[in-house]
Parts: sequence; C-alpha cells; structure tokens
Amino acid sequence: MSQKEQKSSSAAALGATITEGLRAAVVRRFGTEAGIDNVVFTTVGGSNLTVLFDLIDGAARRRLVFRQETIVPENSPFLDPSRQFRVLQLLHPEGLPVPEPIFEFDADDSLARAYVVAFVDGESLPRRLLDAPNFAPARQRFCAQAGEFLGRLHALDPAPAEFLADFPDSIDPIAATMGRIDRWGVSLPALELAVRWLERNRPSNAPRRLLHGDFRTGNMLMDEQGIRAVLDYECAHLGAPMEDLGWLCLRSFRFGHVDKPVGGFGPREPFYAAYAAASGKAVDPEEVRWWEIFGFIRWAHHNVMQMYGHVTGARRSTAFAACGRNIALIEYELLMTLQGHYT
Amino acid sequence: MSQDAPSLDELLLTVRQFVDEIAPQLAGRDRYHALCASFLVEIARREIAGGGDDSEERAMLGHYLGPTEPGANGLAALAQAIRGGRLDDRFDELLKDLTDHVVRQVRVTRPDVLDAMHREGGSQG
Repeated sequence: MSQKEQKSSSAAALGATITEGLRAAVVRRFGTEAGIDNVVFTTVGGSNLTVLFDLIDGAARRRLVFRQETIVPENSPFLDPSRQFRVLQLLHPEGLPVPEPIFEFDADDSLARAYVVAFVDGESLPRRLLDAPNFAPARQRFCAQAGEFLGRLHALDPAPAEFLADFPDSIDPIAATMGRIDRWGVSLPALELAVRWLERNRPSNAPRRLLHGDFRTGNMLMDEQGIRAVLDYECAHLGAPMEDLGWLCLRSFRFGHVDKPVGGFGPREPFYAAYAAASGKAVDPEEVRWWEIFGFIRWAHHNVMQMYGHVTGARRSTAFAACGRNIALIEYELLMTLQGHYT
Repeated sequence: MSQDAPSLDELLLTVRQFVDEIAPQLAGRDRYHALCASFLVEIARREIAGGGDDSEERAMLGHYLGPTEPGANGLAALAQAIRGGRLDDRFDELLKDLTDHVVRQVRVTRPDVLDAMHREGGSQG
C-alpha cells in the first residue's frame, strides 16, 4: 500500500470510529429510535475536529455540529472542551447569538473531549466578509452588533463563570502568556519591551467579567444581515472587559483593511457607543489601546505555539512553519503601535 | 565549491513556480498549504540573497550588553536584561533599535507589509 493510500485508509478508519461513536452517543441520549445522517467531516480548525450531522429523532431532523479536541498542544493555552461547553450553557439562555449547546460527551461515551452544538449557517472567512459585495449590509451593521454583543456579555453576572477562575489567563494574562513563551524556549526582546511598557502603564483595577477571549474577525458566523453566531470559546476567561475590545481591534486582525480598526469592518466610534449602550459602561479608549498592546504579545504567543509544534515535529505543516516567521510581522506592528505610528 | 546551473536561487524559484502552478488545481486545506509553501520558498530566497549578514544585530547587542561570548544567545540575553528592568532608562533608544532589528527581519519575511518609512530607500524610523 502506498503512503497516500495508507493515509486515506487510516482517515477512513478514523471517520468510521467517529461516526460510530457519534451514533452511539445519540442513541444513549435520544433513545434507540434516534439516529444520525448526512455526516460531513470538515477541515476547519487546527487542533479541533468538526463534524456536521443530522440528528434524526422520530419525524424530526436537526443539523448539529460535533466538535472534538484532537490535539492538546504542549503547554496549551486553550480551555478544555468541557469548560467551553459550560460557557455556552451560560450564554445561550441569555439570548446571546451563540450556538445552542446540545450535549457533552462523558466517560460512558467512546469519544472524549467533545461536545455537540446546534448548526448555524453562515460565513466566517474574513476575506469574504470584508470584501464580497453581498456582505456590504453586514459590514455596515458589524461595529454596532459587535459592541452590543460584548456589552451584553460583560453585563452578565460573572459569578456562574467562577469555574474559569483558576485558568491562568483569568489570574494574570501577561504572566500566563509570557510564561508559556518561556516554556516554549523562545526569547523575544520586542515583547519584553512591550511588557515593561504594559507594567508601567497598567490601567486601574477593572471589574472582573466573563470574557469571550477570542472575539475577532474569523471567529463568528455572519450572513448578509450581520452576526449570526459568535464561535470559539477556547480562550474564555475572567478579566477586564476592555481586553475583549482590544483584541477585536488588533491590527493583525484587520485583514488588509488597516484603516478600519474594528476587525477590518469599520471605525471605533459606533463600536464603543453600542458597547456603552449595552453594558451601561463607557469605553476608555486608552485602556483599549493598552489591551491592544497586550494583544500583539498574545497573538505572537499563538504563533510561537504553532512554530513550536512544527519544529518539534508534533504538528508539522507549511502553515505552522509560516507562523514562526509571522512573529516578526506581529512584533513590527506592536512596535509601530507603541510609537504611535499605527492606531 | 561551484555547482552547475541552475543556481541555488534558480532551484528555489523553480520549486516556487511549480507550487504556484499546481495550487489553483488544489482545494481546501491542500491549496492553503500550497500557498504557504510558496510563501516559505520566497522567504528562503530573500534570506539567501541577504547573505546572512548579522553585523547590525551583533552591533546592537554589543551596544546594550557589551562583549559577549561567541555563540552566546545575545537576543535571549537582551530579553532577560529588559525583563529584569536593567534597561528601563533606555526605553526610547531600545524601542528604536528593536524596531530596526524587526524591520530587518520583516524585509526577509514579508517586505510588502513594511510602512513607507521602512521600505528600502526610505528614512529610518
């Protein structure tokens, strides 16, 4: 058997194992009459497997999404799937646009580190959202919708999310981020200089709220009317609300539209105004800028992680190799922002 | 030792042209990884064309750290010095010098993203 045939044969075996595990999990929860159909394996997500399927329960058929963490990177910065699922269980009943959590896999299932949510149709690719003519109405609405989403999220009582309190990013995001970079054995003077700046300019204590942690262009599903669902809860944690605003405005996530700071979609003013209206709290633009400086460090850290996975042989790919060289681009944007050349 | 043609740069260019040729025939993940492969080969071509001159980097490290042992990881030592607060009074100078350092890296990795002030022939910021 050729290497290519072996690869496709093992992929088929994996597919059969996942499909069977999914079927058994559905029967456990919905009864022996329930089944699955129309199973589609997608390739979206670097360390997660995403599988779409129909749940057939009597006469009803419902499109669902199975998500499984397949690779736990060394020194992982990501929340385990079980806590991601608990975050969704908090947010969905509040009426926030998030996928409805359906069930979580447990010790009696053959599959682990996985959960199922409702399927939401929409586009997530940044280039299409930012450039395609049919998304023009969505682009018009985006800043206000994004501000409203974060404002409503941050207005929630954080007490039910205390299960995130021991996540390192909930304790001290700078220490958590730099600690991981240290453990990957990487030294980046530009990041160290930015940390010194952050330490000297730290904002006064902010209220502690449940944060999305990765709210940026690419992590939401949109249609022509705007945001349909906010995805990706691997980085949810407790912290200062402005951290989420700064992350969305990070220059690295503007995908060529650098003059539109809110995710490449538009200006800051309508985003901040919608946030203030939904949360009841005014936005401090300087604090958002502080979190953008931190955001570059955090985005560099994600790229260090991917580079480390590549050079150690854990997860080799051309994309992860490129991440290593991408670090200098992020440092450049960071230093230009620190000097006030970039806003 | 000299080699027959094609030159090293021509070999890399040949690989890149082949990858660019087949990329449109690929779909999804394979296409994305082919585009990344093309990008990586271009980085390698620029890095080789630069000749591996690290004199500016060594001068910068010497400026902040003094003489260092051959083979020492100067960037790691500089990072440690910054973290320890030993260079806090030279923040603005470091900001400029580290920008120049990163600009040299970006000129190899992706020169098109540099601001006009850092393009070849532009004034240094």
